[in-house]
Amino acid sequence: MKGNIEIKTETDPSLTAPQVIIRTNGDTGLAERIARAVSECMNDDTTLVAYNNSTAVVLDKHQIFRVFTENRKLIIATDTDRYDSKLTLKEMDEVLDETEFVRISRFEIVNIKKISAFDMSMSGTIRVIFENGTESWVARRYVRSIREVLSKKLEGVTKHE
Amino acid sequence: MNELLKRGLILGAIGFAVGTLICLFIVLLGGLFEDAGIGFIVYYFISGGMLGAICNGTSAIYGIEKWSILRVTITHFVISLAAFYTFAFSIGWLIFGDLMFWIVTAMFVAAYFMIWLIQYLIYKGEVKRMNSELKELKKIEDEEKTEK
Repeated sequence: MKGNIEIKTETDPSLTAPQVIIRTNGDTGLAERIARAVSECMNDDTTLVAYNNSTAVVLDKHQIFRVFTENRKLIIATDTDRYDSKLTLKEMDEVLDETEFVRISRFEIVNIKKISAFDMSMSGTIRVIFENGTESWVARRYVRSIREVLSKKLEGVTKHE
Repeated sequence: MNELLKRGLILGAIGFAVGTLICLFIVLLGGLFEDAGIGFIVYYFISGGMLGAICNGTSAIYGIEKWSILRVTITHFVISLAAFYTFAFSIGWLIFGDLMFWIVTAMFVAAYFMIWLIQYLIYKGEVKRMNSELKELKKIEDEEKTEK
């Protein structure tokens, strides 16, 4: 028999941001819907729902370094943590801001603001190096689109000035 | 069907057609096979077609995202040269060790070196420009943060 959802509010002065803990009996579908509802409350398109060991988490998109496929799963990597996503890479591409996130291969999307530099080896492999020291590789066919995104972003920023 | 394989087959079919046409062109220009049997002529055209199919079809490997420019170029070079030698020796285009053999081999090496070099320089330039734009963006963002 379905029960009612119990909502409790607690005040903790030590918290710097609201903390939402969703406790269920294993009904991850309901947990996901509640997490989405919480995400929508923020109402500024800056968050998305991800999962850490089946626990739904609301992530700030600005903290995302890279989103990539691994063993048929979609992984969201921040500076120090990794999360799973129920979206496909194509769906994630539509959710993320196209002026801040760019596709670097068939398997990966990265946050431009978290990129430290690009590098190319003598063998012709193009790498992207992130601010936290991690690296990934760039597919040559996506180099042009990366340049377009960077150029547009630079144009937008300099016009604003 | 795997995308790479599909692309390889399409390119291979185009290569076969082009290879056969080139052979036809050579025959019409050179007046070859005046004394040759029909079997040899058929083999000649099929060889040209197969050579075109292998060289063009395997160029699909340039679409393998994870492979470096060097790896792709060397792989295609080895496959193309091996295919060329196979047909060239069997038809009599080349004799192993003679002057023409070395000239053709040197031309293959030079051509593939140029393929690698041109691609390398193009992407090196792109990476340099991307880094320059990235640096400019970060400089502007830092200035904005300082102002705030």
